[in-house]
Amino acid sequence: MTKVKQFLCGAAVASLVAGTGAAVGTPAGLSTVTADWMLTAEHVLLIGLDGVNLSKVLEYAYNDDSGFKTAMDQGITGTASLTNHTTLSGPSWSTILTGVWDDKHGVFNNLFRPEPYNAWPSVFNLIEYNKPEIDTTIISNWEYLNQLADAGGYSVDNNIFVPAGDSAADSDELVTALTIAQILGTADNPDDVSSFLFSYQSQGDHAGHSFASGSDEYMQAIINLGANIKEILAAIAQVQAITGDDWSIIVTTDHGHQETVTLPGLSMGHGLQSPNETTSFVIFDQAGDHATDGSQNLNYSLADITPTILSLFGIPLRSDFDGVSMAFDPTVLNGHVTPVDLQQALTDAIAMYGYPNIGNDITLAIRTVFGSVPYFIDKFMTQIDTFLQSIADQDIFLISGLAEVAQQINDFFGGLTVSVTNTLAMGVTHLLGSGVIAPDDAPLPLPGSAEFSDLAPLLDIEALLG
Amino acid sequence: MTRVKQFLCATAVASLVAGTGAATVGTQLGLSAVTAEWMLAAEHVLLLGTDGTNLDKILEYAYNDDSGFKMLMDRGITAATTIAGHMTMSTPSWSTILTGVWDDKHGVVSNVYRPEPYTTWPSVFNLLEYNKPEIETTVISGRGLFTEIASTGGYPADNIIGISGGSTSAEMDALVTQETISRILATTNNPNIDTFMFSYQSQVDHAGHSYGGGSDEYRDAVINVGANWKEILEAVAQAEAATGDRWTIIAVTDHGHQQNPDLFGFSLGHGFQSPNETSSFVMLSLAGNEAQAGGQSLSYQTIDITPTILQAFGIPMRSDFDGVPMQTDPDILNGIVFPADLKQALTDAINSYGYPNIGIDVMLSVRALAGGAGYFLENYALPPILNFLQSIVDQDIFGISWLAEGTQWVLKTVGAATADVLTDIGRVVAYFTGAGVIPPNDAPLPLPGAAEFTGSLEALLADHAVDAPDLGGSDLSLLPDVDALLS
Repeated sequence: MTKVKQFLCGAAVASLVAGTGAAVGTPAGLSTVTADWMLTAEHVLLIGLDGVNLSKVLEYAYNDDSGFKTAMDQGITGTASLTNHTTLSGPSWSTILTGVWDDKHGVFNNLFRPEPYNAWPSVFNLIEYNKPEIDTTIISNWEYLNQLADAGGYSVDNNIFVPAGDSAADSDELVTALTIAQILGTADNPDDVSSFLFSYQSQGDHAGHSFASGSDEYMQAIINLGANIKEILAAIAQVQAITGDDWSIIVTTDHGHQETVTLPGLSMGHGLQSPNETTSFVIFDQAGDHATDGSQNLNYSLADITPTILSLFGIPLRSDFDGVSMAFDPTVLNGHVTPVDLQQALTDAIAMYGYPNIGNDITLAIRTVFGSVPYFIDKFMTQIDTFLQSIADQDIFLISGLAEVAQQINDFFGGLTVSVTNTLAMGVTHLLGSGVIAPDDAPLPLPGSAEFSDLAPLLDIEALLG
Repeated sequence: MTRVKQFLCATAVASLVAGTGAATVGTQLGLSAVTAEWMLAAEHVLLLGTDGTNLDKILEYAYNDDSGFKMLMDRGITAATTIAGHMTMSTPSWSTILTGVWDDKHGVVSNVYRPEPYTTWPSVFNLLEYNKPEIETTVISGRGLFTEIASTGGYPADNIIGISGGSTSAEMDALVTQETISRILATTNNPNIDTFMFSYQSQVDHAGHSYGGGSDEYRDAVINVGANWKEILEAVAQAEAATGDRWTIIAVTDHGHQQNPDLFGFSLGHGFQSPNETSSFVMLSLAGNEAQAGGQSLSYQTIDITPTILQAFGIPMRSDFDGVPMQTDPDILNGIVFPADLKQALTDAINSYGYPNIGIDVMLSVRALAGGAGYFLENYALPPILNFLQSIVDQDIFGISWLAEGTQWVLKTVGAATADVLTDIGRVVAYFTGAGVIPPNDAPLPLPGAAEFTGSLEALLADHAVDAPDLGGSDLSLLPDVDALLS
């Protein structure tokens, strides 16, 4: 169904471009639409949660008060693993939003660089290039992701950065309110514009770094996130009843968190290869698919998310994606299972994951240590020593020694600069397999003469909240 | 149901023992009396073992209607499981399967046979024969490990069938198959005796050691075992139809195999912690559970097999089992899933498994190395052990290859190091790396017959050290080929 509809859409758009072209939509970046396409719009919502362990979701938020369970009950849940890939936010969200792993995109830490997303266009670019009529939005309280959505020649239509505020929980509440406003906005959509919305919340990761995932604070963050998701899903149900539009929902996280705190107030949290750090999940509720509600898939991967989003809009996939569409790929569909008890079956699936082999484990740890130095210098300056100490204290084979050496170098030179250490880290991580595979597909053509540069002023949050 | 029936059985036996007792002495070894109530249907458990068989190769080569593997998957529930974090050698892993505890308890760390682990941690044969001697227990395998385990302890198996003959392991497996079939069919004309049978095939492991898991020979061995098991399952179906007896069938392997041989004709094959080596599987076709046929479990483990067998006969669990009965444990039952496509879902599960963490990985490699050296020297003398070490050196495994090289140098230099010394060193290394460090909670099984019970743990452990080096050599060295011993 989806494919046919999208095909009709493409043809209709083409004919209109040649014809009248009068119906310029109100939201930014919309193209014209026709009556054939106006039956219903296609919406995809990606909910991104930083640093959330699925095991903790199952422990604290698998109940009717939580949007996690609502999403699982109305979709398909898969555990996913980052084993053999860096468990840091920058690299991992880059995989989620480009459809390729770090051996291709080459992102190795949380310092934003635009180059990876020129070589490997983000889902925002791929949508805006192929179907500029789709309304794309990011609502995020981590600026890196807003920068990512702005990168490349075909950046996101609506780029909403939510400041940190008093706490990560408050900030996430604001993200939730803005997301709901955006969703409810589709009720008044006379042109039936399709949309892609990425909504990102960070409190899980903050609680993890401050108190570790075994803490009550982490538990509270998971419960809060579940409540936020519940509100968001209720808004979708509300708007769907009005419009009859298709809504597909994907919920995911970039990595997990270690159970116990390494140093009070600054837990390393993640970055290495223990199963608590590498375990992720994908919840996928495909519009119109109710036959498989509440079941499980053994094959989902973070790299599948961008291909899935594109396929839902009928946009062709790149030849060099590492992922495939969770909606259409036969292998993924065959990995679908119906559990006697979803909670237990997911717990069992989580328990399957192990470590990478010794070589990869060490390689990835070295990458994380080198990559983290410039990031910490940039963000926290004084905390780098503490960070390295937290690795040294964990007594991890070889890596703790390396961290100690890095600490001594840092102490000796006093002020190493971001650019020097980041360049060094880029060299080291490249030698260790980050960003070593070039794209097969040609880069997206540069946007036409019509200058697109006017996206810089971010939208006014107050106005959006209305 | 099972429990009630078994309870009836026990009372019936007690009353008969007190009463007549004369007329009902069975024809076969170890049978007890039976009554009409109990003769409605007998309970049979068949454990099929195949050594060194990777589930992904089964799915690739033998997931078709000519194969008993697929028949069993279609009839029961299949799990891809892992023994990551435990030694991937045959004797340690089969000991786990046949005792229900991991190597940190049973302490078996090499293929040198010692009886002590099985007197401390009784095998499934002992647990069955002690609790329900009326069950007819049988092991069918080539002579060696299993005929030894089944005869160890105060309550050995009733029928210990050591198959000899056959010029290849494939021929020996065919003989095992024929013997298994004839014993299955024999249940059609016995007075409804409960049975437990363990039938073991070795050719896949041999092919793995000689040619690697990626070879055509390995493929052929997997297909052969599938064909053998098909015949066995057909015999079960025939017996079921004739008697109405309940048959529970469990299939398992002890470890997997590396893809490529290290040295021509002599592959290490397994012993370390790569996913190909730690990969195992469990298939369970539980009598009466047709509703879940073709399902998958995400949590079966090899430690669950002995508890499951005991549960099928209504025998209480030990308190210190690591495993649980697969047919009753609530978590395991909740972890059953029904796949859109079993082959793909099992493949996905296999791909989920990784390595243990660096510390355990290194520790187990050291243990495998230390345990392996004594085994080889005892059975073959120096050249093969140097080959064995060379195959480890060639793999360039972090830390371990250097250690193997060092050991090789020591052996070349010292030359006359004895097997006893190496085996003892191996056991000490194993102990210090966590093998056999947890003593049982449960009391040892009482000695059969006589009231005398001296078996303190200290006495048993004291025996260890004295007897250990002697016990493997004489019997095991009779086996014909190198691969059999490696398995």
